[in-house]
Amino acid sequence: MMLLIDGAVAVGLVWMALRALNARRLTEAVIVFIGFTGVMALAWVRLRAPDLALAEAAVGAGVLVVVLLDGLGRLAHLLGGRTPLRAAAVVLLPLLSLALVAVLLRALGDLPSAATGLGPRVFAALEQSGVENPVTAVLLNFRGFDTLLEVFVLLGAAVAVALLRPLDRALPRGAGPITAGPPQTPMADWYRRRLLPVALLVAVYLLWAGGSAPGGAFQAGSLLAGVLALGLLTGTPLAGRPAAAWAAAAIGPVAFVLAALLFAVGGHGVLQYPPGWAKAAILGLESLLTVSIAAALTLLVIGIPRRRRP
Amino acid sequence: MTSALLYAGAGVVLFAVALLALFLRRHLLRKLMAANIAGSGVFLFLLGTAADGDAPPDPVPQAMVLTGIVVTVSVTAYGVALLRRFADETGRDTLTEDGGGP
Amino acid sequence: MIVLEGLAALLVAVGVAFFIAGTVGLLRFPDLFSRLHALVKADNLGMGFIAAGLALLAEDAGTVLVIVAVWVLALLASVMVSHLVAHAAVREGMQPWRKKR
Repeated sequence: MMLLIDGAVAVGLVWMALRALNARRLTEAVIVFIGFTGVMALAWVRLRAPDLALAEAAVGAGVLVVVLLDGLGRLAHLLGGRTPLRAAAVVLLPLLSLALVAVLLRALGDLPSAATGLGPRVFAALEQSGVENPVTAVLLNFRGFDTLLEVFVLLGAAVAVALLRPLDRALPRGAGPITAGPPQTPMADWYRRRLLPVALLVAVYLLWAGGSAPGGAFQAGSLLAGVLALGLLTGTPLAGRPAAAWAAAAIGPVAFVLAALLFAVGGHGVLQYPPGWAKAAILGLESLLTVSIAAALTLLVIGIPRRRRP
Repeated sequence: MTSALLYAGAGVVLFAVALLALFLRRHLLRKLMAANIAGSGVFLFLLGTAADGDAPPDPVPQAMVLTGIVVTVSVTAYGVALLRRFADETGRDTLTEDGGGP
Repeated sequence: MIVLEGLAALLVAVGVAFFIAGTVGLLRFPDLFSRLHALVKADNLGMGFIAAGLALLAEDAGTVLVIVAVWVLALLASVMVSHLVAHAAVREGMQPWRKKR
């Protein structure tokens, strides 16, 4: 029974990918791709990776959707010229692709069983890590380096996107900055006053839960980014303070580096938490990282919140 | 658990078809989506091979893929921004044979 | 126990049916407003059924509370988003679809 469901999800993934890659209209391709990320989240659940399912659904489906639809909105009016592909490429490349599938599937059959993984060692050391969720333990303790570099990639992308933005000009109708002119409706007002605090509370819960259950800084951060984006769209007065947004985006990575150096100077090695301090250090770092991830994702999606010109 | 290997196999196919589309599609937004799908294929392969068996799943590849997802989103957003700037400067949405400058 | 599981499966199945109806509406309806209408109403109801089905199988009251909270929050968020989309469409001057005579 479960094998049947897994088969359906796996075939569905391939089918949706083919549809997304081969759709005639660009809009259709983007929409099928969005559906594809949703099915990916299902696949993560079936592979017993609920942390990944949360991240894929929030960061992948949520943030990617806005980025791609935004790109689509600005590009739909272009009529780029099409030079035909060389015939050799059209014939040869699919054959090479097919050969790649055959070789990789063959290699998949030859792989040794999963007993060679690092799993047992992680579970053996979990007690010293300060958290109970093994994925959080790997991210924030055993492989803190990866996470440190990752948050800098995110920050770097936000900076790069901001640098590329100022020359956007002569926008077609309907493609203006989405923060322009929030609706003055009772519902937007209600969201701002009542729902925003509740949503912030949910983000804090997700961060706290990450210590022992699926969740953590990335899931909480991307949820927070969604809340902030919706807040900006309903006219919550967050706009017009780019300096604050950038400070929030930088505080997590900076704190991470400072903590790493501090522990190194204290004689524990870079990013090695002193005994007994692991839980406090991870919780503190994760809280700051959540703020930074939320800020960086919001900057990626909405751009620098600009003051509206009168 | 053979269903984990099923996902690894799907990952292989996703990677191959997306790589093919990366070469064959001309529109840059399509290329970007193809790169994303190829990445998803790699992630599926990684976790599908790791989750094989009845032992609790190995958290190390899960953490690696989580990092990978965030990096993919960052790179995609950067790609769309680059693409938009390119379209603004040139009025086109594809690269041409001669390199595609303005 | 078997009755409870059967009931849960039935509720989830009904929820899935509503999701399918909402998706068909999204694909087949003629304009943005009617598509939003199909999507938000049918999907939220479908999610309610699925949440109810899962709550029947929950092990303790806390889990039930979390499931209900998830449903209410998703309901509020999707209503808010569709309100914003519809509002933006009206402001752009989009006309609702009318049956051609």
